[in-house]
Amino acid sequence: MKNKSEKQSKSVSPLPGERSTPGDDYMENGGGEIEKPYSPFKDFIKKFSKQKMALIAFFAIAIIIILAILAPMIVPYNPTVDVLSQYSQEEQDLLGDNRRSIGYEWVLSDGSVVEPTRVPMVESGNRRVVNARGSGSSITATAVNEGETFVAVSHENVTNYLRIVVTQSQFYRPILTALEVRLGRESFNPGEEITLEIKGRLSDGEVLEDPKEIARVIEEMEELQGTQDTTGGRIAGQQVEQGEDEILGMTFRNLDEEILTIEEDGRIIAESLGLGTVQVSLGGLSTVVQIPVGSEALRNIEPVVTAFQFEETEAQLVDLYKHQPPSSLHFFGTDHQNRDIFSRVLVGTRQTLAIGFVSVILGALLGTTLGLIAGYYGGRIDSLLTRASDVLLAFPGVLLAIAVIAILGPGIINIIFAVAVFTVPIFLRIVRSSAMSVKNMTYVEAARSIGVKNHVIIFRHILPGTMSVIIVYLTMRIGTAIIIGAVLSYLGLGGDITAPEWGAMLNAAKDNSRNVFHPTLFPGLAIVVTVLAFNLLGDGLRDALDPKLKE
Amino acid sequence: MKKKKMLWLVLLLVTMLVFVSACTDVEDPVDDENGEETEGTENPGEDDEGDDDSGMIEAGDEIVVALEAEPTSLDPFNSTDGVSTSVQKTMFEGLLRFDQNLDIAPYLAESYEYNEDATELRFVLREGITFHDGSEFNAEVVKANFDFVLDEDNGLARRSFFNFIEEVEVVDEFEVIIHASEPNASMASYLAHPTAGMKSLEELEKKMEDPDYNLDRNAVGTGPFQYVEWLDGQHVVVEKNDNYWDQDNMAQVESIRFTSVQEASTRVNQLRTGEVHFVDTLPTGEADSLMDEEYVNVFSGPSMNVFYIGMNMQEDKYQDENVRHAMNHAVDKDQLIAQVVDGFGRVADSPIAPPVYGYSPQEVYEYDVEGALNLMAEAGMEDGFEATLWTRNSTEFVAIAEFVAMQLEEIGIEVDVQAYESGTLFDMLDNNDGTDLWIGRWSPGTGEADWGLRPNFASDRVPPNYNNSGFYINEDVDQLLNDALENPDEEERLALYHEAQEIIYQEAPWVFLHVVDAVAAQRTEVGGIYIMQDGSVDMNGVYFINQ
Repeated sequence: MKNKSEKQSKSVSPLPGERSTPGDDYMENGGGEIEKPYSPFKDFIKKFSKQKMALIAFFAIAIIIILAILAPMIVPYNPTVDVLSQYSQEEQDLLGDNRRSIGYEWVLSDGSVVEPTRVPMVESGNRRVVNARGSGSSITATAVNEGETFVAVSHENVTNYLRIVVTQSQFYRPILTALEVRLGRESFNPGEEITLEIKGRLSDGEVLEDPKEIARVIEEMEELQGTQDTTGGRIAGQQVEQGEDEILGMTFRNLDEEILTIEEDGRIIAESLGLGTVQVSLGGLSTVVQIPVGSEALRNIEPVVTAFQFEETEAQLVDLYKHQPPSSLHFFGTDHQNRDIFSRVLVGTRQTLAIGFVSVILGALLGTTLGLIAGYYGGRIDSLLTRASDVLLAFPGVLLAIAVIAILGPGIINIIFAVAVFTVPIFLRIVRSSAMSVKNMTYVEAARSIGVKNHVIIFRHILPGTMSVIIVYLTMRIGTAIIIGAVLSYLGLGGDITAPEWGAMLNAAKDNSRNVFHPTLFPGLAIVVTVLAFNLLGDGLRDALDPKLKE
Repeated sequence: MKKKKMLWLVLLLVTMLVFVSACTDVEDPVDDENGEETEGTENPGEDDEGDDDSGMIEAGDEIVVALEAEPTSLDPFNSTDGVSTSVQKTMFEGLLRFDQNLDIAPYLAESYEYNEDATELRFVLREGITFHDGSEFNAEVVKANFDFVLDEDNGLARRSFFNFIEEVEVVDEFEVIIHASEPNASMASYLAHPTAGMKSLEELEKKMEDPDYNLDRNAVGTGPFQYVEWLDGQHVVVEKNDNYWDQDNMAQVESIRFTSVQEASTRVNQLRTGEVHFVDTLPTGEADSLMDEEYVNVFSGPSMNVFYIGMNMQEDKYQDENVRHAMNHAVDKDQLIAQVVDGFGRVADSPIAPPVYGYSPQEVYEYDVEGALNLMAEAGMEDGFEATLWTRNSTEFVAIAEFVAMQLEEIGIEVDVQAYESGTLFDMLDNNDGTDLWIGRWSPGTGEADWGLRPNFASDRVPPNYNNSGFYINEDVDQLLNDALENPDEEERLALYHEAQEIIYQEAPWVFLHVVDAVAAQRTEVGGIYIMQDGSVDMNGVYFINQ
């Protein structure tokens, strides 16, 4: 941009020799080249076909445009909806569930199984792995992250466990799901020590009878708990209840002080006649056992809940609800809302290209017209337009675009307009300087001397002379416009933030970029490839259109 | 030649891309470092290691806390946000306070008692307490404070919070009675809220003499820390108050620096590098990776923050209860929790969260698209309708909005999600600027049901008079809330609140979403920080381990 900001010559002077090339002010100046008798178009094609990169870029852009047009037809998934709801039945069977509802019933102390009448308390052992919740008829476990844990289901004094594996098991062993306590005898007399037989039921159905064995399994299960380190600080409001008497980690809690007493060493002694109840806990599991003291009590036992009977005690889930890595099902993986990134990138092409093309063409139209006027007429109009464009150029492009959005409000139409606004001065400048040099050519002077009207001279004689610059710049600016468009939508100025738009996709994915790479990589790559292709094409066009470049 | 150049260009670009995508987050703290903090340490080579005894922060006795925003004011009467409260709590104390189990405990008062019909609350004040400026705390100060906040001319943000007070009566120097305009059994809860912090009388007088005197920037309370400086956009510093009245709970560090770091990932990185000691409101996605860090502890616990979709009940489309039920059934809360908050949450089974006093669980609207479609058909809305969903523009809110928008579309509701900066959003809601649907979050600062329900569901709290932006009008609910407030009997109050929750949950003026867990993280070298269930942080007992 060497020559154009020098003082503008107002007079229509004939051929100032070194300036005679039709307007490429970003190229070196040199001797003017006069058209050869052969077709300039063929010459261009010949020159252009020698630019390998530009040719590749050209085909890349062609493919991108075709993809953009066909996008709605060729996307494998609906880009705005969670893919889980779009899988076919076979795929779903193949992948597995990310949620399971497990029905349950109550087991009473007399052995009967009844419909539950109250919703149990349900707590996941590690909510980073599984989220669980109880409702009237079932326990719902929803996968959160890969891992394995247990889900504690409790009703009053009874707690049972379910084993839940999400995607990958770390533990490879069944866990203890319930305690079963039987009385050594049918009934006891006051003063007697009560003997209990304790068994542990594993999640695969096996029953453990050795208390040491049970304690060992319980100990191992600690690794299934969520790590919540509490040294040096706590969250307020958490209370930890301590058990009373421990044997092998087992605690007994007396629920009926009058009938029974529990000694320091854990022995249970019958005190008086009646029906006693003891809660037996181990680890987090617990159950209750009714202890009749005296045969009188045997007759009117009201059964209580001692355990749950689940449809299944082990469940295998998959964590498919978000951030699926790239696979044959989803080439680019899925994003934080489990939408197919490949489909989103494809569909996003449309909007991106629309922003690029429409805004640049709009800006180029306006900029070219103003540039021609400024360059041709010179004088006051010229300085006015040039100063105005200088003012606009003084702002960084993005800032200017943000300012425009701030006035117009977010939305794709406004983005297009914003990008167009800062494209105008660039075209104005370039076209103006080309126009100024073309204006001094003899053929223009000749046209003027025979009285051709100004607008005819501008559009018929000067415009074609500036065309090559315009075309080169057009391609180059599309790349920039795409970037600015992406920046604006990255900043959340693109209107609908949920739209499949590359910039918006990057913005949504940035918070997780440390953990997962694909939601940022692919939209980013799409932007890079598209912009690079337009820039390479522009480079190639420039070289091909440059009359000085022979070979 | 050319070809080779291009090849290099492409290669360079690809490397840069990889570099940029790998580094963006890691680079951040370097950019944001405001000084020599980490340069002075002895082991520049091992960024994340840090030795046990010194940690990474050389200014040995200063605790650095990264907050998600700058406080709006240091005047407890003039701020409504949790961030300001966290800072104010180190400097101001009220007559009562919530202890860590959210029970009401005396603070500047020695004891308190209600009269029989709950219209009066009598306080006996602690003697010998002085403010940071040396002035004395007594009954006159209490009266002056409440008179000050209730004076409409002062235009304080929390005035309406205290408008249950009719008069403050000074009995003698250390005894004061608060008279309520109506029977109010929640008075103590309100007065235990950090908003009721006591300011020095001298400060109030300065303000009354000179209306330009800025109380927002001049904090003189009785707390264990006193105000040092507030640099805009950088930090607020408080230092140990050596004359603190409670010798057993003296501050154990020299000073606390509250920095405001808006970008969550920057906060996390600062914590990793040891630049800050404590980070509040952690993004749940980051919590996972932080758990593996050796020198960082991550905590989570129940909070009182309920997320919901509010709907404008004045709109025709939400008139039919079936539509509202359908919307509740259409949103899969379990998946929302797994997907958006990484498991750190529970399904909201009441308009208020479980830790709130008076909470009673209701039967959850289970995810059921079929059922929801039937309900829509019953309401004559088979074809669905269009709706605009407003959300705050922070990542978490946007993610929730995106999620529910997708789900509502399944029952034919075309949702247009619009994100706004939170202040703008509140203004729009308070002025009813075309309210339709919005994502809301509510946490009752007082920790009890009245403040959980009244602002959101009472008929007299419709815009512009507070938070009932959906114009939910139900006289039964109004009556129940008023009855509960006036009833000093605990069991009866609870029953009334249960009934109110049942009606609200049944009528579904909200789509009830989830209750998030509070997630926070701190360096292992500090301890004694508590997150209260209202989301504010209690740092008064903070200390360094291994020092």
